[in-house]
Amino acid sequence: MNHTGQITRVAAPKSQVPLSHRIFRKVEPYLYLIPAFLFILAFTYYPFIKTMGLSFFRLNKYREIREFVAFANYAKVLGDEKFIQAIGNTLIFVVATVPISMALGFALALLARRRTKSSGAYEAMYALSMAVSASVIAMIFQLAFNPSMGIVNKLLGLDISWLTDPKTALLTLIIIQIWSNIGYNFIFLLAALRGMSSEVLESAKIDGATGFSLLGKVIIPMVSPTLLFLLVKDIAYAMTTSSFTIILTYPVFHSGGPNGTTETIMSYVYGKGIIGTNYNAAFAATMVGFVLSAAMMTLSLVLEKKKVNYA
Amino acid sequence: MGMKGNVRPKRSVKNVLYQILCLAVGIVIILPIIMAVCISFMRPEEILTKELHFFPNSFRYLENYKIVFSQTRILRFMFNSLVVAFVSSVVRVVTASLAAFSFAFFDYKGKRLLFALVVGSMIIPADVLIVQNYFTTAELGLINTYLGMMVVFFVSATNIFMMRQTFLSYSRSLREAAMIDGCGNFEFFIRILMPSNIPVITTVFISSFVGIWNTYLWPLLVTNANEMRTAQVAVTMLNINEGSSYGPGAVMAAAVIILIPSILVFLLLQKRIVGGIMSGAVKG
Repeated sequence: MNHTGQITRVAAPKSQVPLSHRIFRKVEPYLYLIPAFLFILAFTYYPFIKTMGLSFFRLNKYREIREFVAFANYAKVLGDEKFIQAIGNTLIFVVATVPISMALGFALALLARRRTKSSGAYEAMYALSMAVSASVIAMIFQLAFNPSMGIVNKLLGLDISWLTDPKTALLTLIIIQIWSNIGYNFIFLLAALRGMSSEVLESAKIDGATGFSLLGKVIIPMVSPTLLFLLVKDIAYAMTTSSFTIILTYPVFHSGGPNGTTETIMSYVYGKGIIGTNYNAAFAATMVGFVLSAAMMTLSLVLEKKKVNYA
Repeated sequence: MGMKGNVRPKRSVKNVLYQILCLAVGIVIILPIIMAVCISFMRPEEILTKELHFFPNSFRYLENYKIVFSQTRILRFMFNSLVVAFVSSVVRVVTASLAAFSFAFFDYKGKRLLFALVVGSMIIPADVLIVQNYFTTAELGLINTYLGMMVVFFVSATNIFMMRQTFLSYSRSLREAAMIDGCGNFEFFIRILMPSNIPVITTVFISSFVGIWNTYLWPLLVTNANEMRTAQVAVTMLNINEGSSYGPGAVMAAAVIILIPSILVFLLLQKRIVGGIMSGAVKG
């Protein structure tokens, strides 16, 4: 007999509990799940399955199904130079932003690890970018990178149209993204560093480990679960990124930047499915994006699995 | 520490230098924000100059802020953001705590599968779903409504997971004791479980609030009426590249204005947000 049954007995003998109460006891735990599942099903699983399903059909611009085409939409979208470029840009974006933001966050966390009187002040400054929205970041950096009034050109004595020159547009978005990632990576790594056992650290120091050998042999293995968590999270985020492309380059170019150089997978989907009405391309591209980001996450998990110290 | 008395002067000098270094690095990192604040107090000719001009001539020049408040409906946009972030966060707490209660305190058929569905939904990035969710919202007639702006934020699998972890560490025997006193399950949830887990509830609420306040793409998609725009969407519409009449000073002023609530909330409750995210993420 489970504990619910026992409690029933305290209240009243089982035979006297009305049938409706017993039915209620059975369904009660499911009732508590209804609100959450209503929204999970309606706004996560339903759109996901529907997008996947529709990606195998040809649709007209009113999203009416015309015919089953199997993988034709995929073939078409993967044959689109613009989409291949978007995949390439996204991968460059991941490879550039993820390691640099993690390294910067880690360096800051090492710097801030020891508590001092002013810890509170500089920890807050290091973490601040976490609280700043993509649109505000975009507006600030757009001005900073403005060719004539921007502080970047003034400081460097350059005359570059950062966001409109095909040679620099993606680089600029990468810089902006790295800045906006710093706070998040810092805060997790600071918590991990402060959570390390001080005995292990002290005994490593007594064994003569200092500087980089202490970092490589002791500290990094100890915080590796957090590093792995951040790696997967950052990759997932970067693979589906689109905000800065949409805010900074769509209004100017009506596409992903100069010559498509800042188009990402998800901004391509936005361009096809929201701005345009090419749902065949949008849905197939969405699924390609999902599969690629799942693959990237799995890959990072597999590669890191052996090195991670869960002790 | 209790070592204050015998710290040698040399060491304390080093310590002060170390703190100055840390603070200097911090200032470099938040330079973009400082720059935005400075520009928001500049006259147009100060902004347009070819020379490097970081600090405004006077922090008493408020014209940019006056433009924002008089020529845009910034208060309305912030009110919209507030409604969306606040209501969505409350609903999130409700949906997550009820589901976590079910997962943590009951044994029933299909529980493992249902929990796997929750965890599985975390693998699907929200941005992947926006096109289809946009059509669902449109079909429900929710374009340009608060409900439409909020509906995709009503549940967070991460929050369910986080609250379940907390509830699991809450003793089952306490629940049984409460029930022997004649307390029903739901009564136990409302009167005992929720009040004694205020920290995790605050964490879920605050992290949701900052996240939803800052969100851009979804409110952009489901609104096209000016008065329904959120602050985040509205600020990008003052775009300096579009040759708007507002000028970069006013755009920065608007950015600073909408930045204040999220930074305040973040600074006041930073520890709690981080603690919550950590316990939900790394331990699991």
